[in-house]
Amino acid sequence: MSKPIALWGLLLLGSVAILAQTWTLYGISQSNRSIAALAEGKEVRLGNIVNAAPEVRLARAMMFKKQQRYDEALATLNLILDAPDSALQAKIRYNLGNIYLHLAVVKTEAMAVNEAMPLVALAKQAYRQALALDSQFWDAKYNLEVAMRLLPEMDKITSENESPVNQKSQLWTTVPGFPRGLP
Amino acid sequence: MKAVMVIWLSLYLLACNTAPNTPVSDFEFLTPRPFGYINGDEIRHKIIIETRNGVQLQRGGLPKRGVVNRWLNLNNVAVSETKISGGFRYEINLTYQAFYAPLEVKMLTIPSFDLPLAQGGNNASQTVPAWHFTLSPLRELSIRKDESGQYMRPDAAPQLLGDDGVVYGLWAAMAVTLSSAGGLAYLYGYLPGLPKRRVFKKASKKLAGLSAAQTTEALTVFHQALNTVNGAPLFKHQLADFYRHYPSYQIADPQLVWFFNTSNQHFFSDAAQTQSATLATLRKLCATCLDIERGWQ
Repeated sequence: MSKPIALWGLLLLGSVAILAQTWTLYGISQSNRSIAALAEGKEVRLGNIVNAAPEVRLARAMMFKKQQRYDEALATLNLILDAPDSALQAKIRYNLGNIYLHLAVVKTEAMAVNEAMPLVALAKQAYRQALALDSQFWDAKYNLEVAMRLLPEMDKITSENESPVNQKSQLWTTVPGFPRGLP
Repeated sequence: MKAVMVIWLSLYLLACNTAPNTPVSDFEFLTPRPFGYINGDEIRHKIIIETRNGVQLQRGGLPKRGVVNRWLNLNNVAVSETKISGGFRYEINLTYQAFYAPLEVKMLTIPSFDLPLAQGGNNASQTVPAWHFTLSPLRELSIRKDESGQYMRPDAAPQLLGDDGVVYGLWAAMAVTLSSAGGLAYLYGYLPGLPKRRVFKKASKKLAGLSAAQTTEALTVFHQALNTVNGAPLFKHQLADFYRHYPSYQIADPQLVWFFNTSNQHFFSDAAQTQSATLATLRKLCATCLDIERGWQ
């Protein structure tokens, strides 16, 4: 009697697995349709975004950037910073860096240097994080170099009378010629 | 000549005395090529150190993961320890990552550090030397611009989600489902072209439709079923041969013997039988044979 019970069990298990896989395939197909639509600049129903894969949100963030809705793009990318796939995480951080760098360049060209500096620092941080996840990410290397040329990093000049505690906590500064004594 | 011998002996003894006192018997610092690096590249160093006299590496004194200096990060520190005769062998793998954007090819230095060693209350250290390498720029000095301003690499577009794994899973689930459905169809005798699997199923149906008075028909139906399975008419004295070909029916031997005795008595003797009891027992026997046919027994 055990043979048919095992076979009935397998039949049930197989049927449940077929249903589950079919449902997953449907979800993937929906997500891919959303990604393609967002890449063409078309808005997608919010219901398709909320429970979708992080790739869909990434596509949505890129659409926001194309439409110059930078705050929404940054907010969307920040939502998926902890994506489970490290390659995707690197991509998200790289795109985040690109938005910060783009904004920094715009501010620099508008001579708003004080507003540009923190943006470049954020861009560099995002590119470094992307490269820590994937050291072969050539576009991140290139854009990090762009950001580093925009705001070079230089070793801090230390003097004799500085306390060792301060030396330890502030080994370097990001801005050349920055008045000493500021945070 | 005597003096020379004394000097050689003294030197030999000196060598014998000093060698075992050094805590490290072997030290190797394996580094990659020292040129051709660019911003964001990883650099892997391997340190092999063998100690003697039970001297151990103090892991707490190893460089920590994180920022080493303005342009250098230590991303990974992996240490493996194996016991060797008289001491330990350590393999230390360090993964650095350089973030530096030079204007021209520039020589940089990964700083030196000490590996702390200890044996009981005695401490020692082994210095890992500084390592020099050159790093090159990725872009030209002059600022290149495209129509959107400062030239930079474009955004990384999200890739479409892959469904290969899910499709394979679906095929596997379908294979399991179809196989189990096929197995069940075989067991229940629904597969065409396998008539023998349905012999006792048909017989059971026929027996279920007979009344207690139709003992002759019932016995005939079961005889026919046994003959079909055997491929030839089966008699009582052939049962041993039948079991050799169909060993699963061996467990029904007492009931089959009863069947042949009852049949002989019914067809060739005048003695009266309780007909309803015969039919009920025959149905039970047919159910047992049906279970055997389906592989349940």
